[in-house]
Amino acid sequence: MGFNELSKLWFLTLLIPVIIFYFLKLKRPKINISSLFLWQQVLDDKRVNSPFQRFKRHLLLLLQLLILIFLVFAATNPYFLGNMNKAKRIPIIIDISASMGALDKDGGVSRLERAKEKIKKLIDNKISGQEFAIITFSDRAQRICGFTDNACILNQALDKVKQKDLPANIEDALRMVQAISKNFQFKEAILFSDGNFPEETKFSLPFNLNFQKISNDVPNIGITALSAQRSGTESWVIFAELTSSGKTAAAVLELYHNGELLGEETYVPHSENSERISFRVPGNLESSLELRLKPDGFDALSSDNISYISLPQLRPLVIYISPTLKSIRAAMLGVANIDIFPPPSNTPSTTPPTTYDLVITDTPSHLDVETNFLFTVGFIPSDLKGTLKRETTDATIIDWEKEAPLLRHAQLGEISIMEGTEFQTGRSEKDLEKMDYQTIIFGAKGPLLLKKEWADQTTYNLLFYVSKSTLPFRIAFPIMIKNLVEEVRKKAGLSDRIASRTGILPSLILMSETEYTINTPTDSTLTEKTTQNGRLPAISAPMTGIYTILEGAKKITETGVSLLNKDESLLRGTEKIKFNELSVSASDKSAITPQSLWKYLAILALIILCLEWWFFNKRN
Amino acid sequence: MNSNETKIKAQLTPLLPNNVLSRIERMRINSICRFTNRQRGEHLSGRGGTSMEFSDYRDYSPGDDLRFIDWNIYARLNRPYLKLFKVEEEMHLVIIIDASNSMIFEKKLDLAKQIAAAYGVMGLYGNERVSVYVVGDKNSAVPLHFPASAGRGNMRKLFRFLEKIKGGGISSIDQGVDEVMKYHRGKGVAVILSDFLTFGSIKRAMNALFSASLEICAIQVMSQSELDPELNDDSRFIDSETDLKLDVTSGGNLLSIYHEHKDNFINKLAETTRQRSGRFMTVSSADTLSNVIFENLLRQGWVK
Repeated sequence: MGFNELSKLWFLTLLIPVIIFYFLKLKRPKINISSLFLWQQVLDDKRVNSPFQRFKRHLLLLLQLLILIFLVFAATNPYFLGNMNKAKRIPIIIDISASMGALDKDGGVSRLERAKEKIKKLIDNKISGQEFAIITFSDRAQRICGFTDNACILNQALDKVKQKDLPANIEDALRMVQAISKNFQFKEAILFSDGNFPEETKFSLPFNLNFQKISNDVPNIGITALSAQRSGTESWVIFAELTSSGKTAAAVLELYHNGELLGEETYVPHSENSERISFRVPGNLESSLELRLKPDGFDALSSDNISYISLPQLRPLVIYISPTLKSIRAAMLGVANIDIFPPPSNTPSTTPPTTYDLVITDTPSHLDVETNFLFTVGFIPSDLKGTLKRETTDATIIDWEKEAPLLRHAQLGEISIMEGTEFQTGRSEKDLEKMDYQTIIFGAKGPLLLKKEWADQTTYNLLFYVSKSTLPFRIAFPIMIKNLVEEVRKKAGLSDRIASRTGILPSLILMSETEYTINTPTDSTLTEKTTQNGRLPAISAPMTGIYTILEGAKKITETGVSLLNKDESLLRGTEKIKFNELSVSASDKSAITPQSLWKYLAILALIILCLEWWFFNKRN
Repeated sequence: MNSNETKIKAQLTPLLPNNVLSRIERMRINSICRFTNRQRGEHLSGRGGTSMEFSDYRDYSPGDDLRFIDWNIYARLNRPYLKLFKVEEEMHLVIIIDASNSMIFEKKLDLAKQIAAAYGVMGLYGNERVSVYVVGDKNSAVPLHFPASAGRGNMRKLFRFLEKIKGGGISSIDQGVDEVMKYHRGKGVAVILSDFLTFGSIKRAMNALFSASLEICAIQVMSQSELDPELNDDSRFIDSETDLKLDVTSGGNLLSIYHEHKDNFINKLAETTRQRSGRFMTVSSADTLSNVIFENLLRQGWVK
């Protein structure tokens, strides 16, 4: 038991005027009687003056004093300690990940709302001087409110807490709390979460964690993966993974192609297994696909019932190959669905495009050709001339990156190379790494194939002439060509596509240094300016839906992002979080800090007031 | 003139209805102590006298009146015996009416006046000397006094005297009795009509009466609110005589304690009176005169 505002006990001095006013205002009806003789005797009787009789005599005064005492004690804001938390500072960590948006029933409240109710009660009942901080986390943590004892600020901060369609990353939240603990001393933090995060966390907990689990066993069904794969030259196959948890009813999955219903499939869940459903869509036009899942019954989480994927128009790859690279051109002719420039002599000439999907050249002057994928052959790039030099003796391949997309399934052993490269004096592999070059094929003295990726540009540098090696005669050569084409096709988005997830919008290349407005699904707008390269800075996309990019009032493009997270859709909640050294179990008891008693005292005062009113009226 | 006024006019006094008066005229005061005066009256004295009522015989002594010798006895016994007769003496009836403020309440004084009138009639018709003292009347510093009178011819005067009593003084009955005893001479019966609600000493007043050879007939006239008060609220009582104030808060067993004290008070008064060979009775002002006279006084032998 304690008091938040003990100084208000001074109000008890009001008892004195109440007593004075009571006796001053006590108007007794005057009654003339024949003689006081008998009454005086009666009132002199000890029985009349017994304490109980005196108490009864001024019952109204007693009730008034009781009311005042209860009101004064209510004003002192007393609290009952009990099992409550007496810590001076407590950080409150709130999980705002997608699963916290799960409703407890149709039209009910979400887990986050329930957590907020509990936190609100926690704030309302905090003892005097107790400070709370509010930290939220989804895929990353955010401090909403620093340590303060101001309930108004805390409540305002709590109102700002919104659920996000993102997975939970508790480690980030705990690291932030740990960082806060360096400036503010506290012993315990309270975590409000449904426990929908990995059970094991690589984190050494430097404080006590009170894990308040907010969960409800509710059914949910959702789309947990969405991708598209090119099928032939004219169509895409859409793969959607559906996952259900709890006793979910059947659902209908509808596919909308540019706003029109293209197909639908009925999904009958079987326990908690995921199931893949596929659709085939034509690839002759650029299309925006929307998958809508319509559960036949209550579904706890709505954000995983919709997902988006954008597909480009299927087309042949446009590849420029220097005419001097005859072996490569010959190998490319065997690859289907590509357009080679300059075209072979036996094919009709066409107008060369302005941009290419792939440029393969042995001439440094061709580096100005507009492309995102460059494959140079036989020369050392100018920026590497200080690091590498031409090797005069034969070179041999000693190793290669077998997992590299270009060399997948390629066997490069026993290939003879007439002119390799070697490091300049004092240079080494580290100098290449500093310049963001990755060695794909290692020669005895220096690299033979380098790869560099920056921004959306990919460059391969084959540092020896193909024609001056036995590579074209090896089976690895057509495999490499095939791998190269596949890599280029993938980069051009013509091989497969994966639906964008919530978090950050996919990178977009737009007009350079132009201001764009982004309309979000929550009807808020952002304004961002592109860089010199035309790249739009990373835009946070925490909610499922379509983000529209506008230049002024003109719509430039739109991108749909989806939750697509199996863990969030399953709505699983761990009961125990395993840290490096200890485990924290979900607490059964609510994290109520001191139980404030002022409301009860005020109600008691009101009851006594009613009692006094009744007693007063009864007497009259 | 309405029927009530006509009825009152037809009566000898508004104090006593005619039918009651006619019955009272035939009633007499039944004295226990027989305090009598030397004057001749109708009450037989213990002493020998010359009335017609035979009392006893005694041996003749020289010097005795020869007229009282029973000659028949002398003839038979040859010895002279003197025939003794009872003496009939006059009894003084003193009626003391408390007319203080406390008696104004709930017509206590009215009933007291009626009882006094009834006693006066009985006294006058019984050839007693009747005197009335009114104590505590605001119009007089000394007790109003109806001088000792005998004979039914004074009945009308008595009625007029009683009718004029207004009451409303502040002196208590004990002080009043003291005053009365300064003026009164004679033995007999003292009828005190009062509520006896005084902070003074009733014992002293009783002693004074008893010492003056007055048989005390104390009739306590209480109002209904004194006998059975009702208290519903916190009240401030104001004493009608002393203007003293007393705050009384209702509740619990206050009334039962009051009743207990009232009964004790009445019992003590009765005991005090009895110890002085007197009689005590409490009547309610709500009672009718007929009830008081014919039910209480007659049945209890105060009158016959």
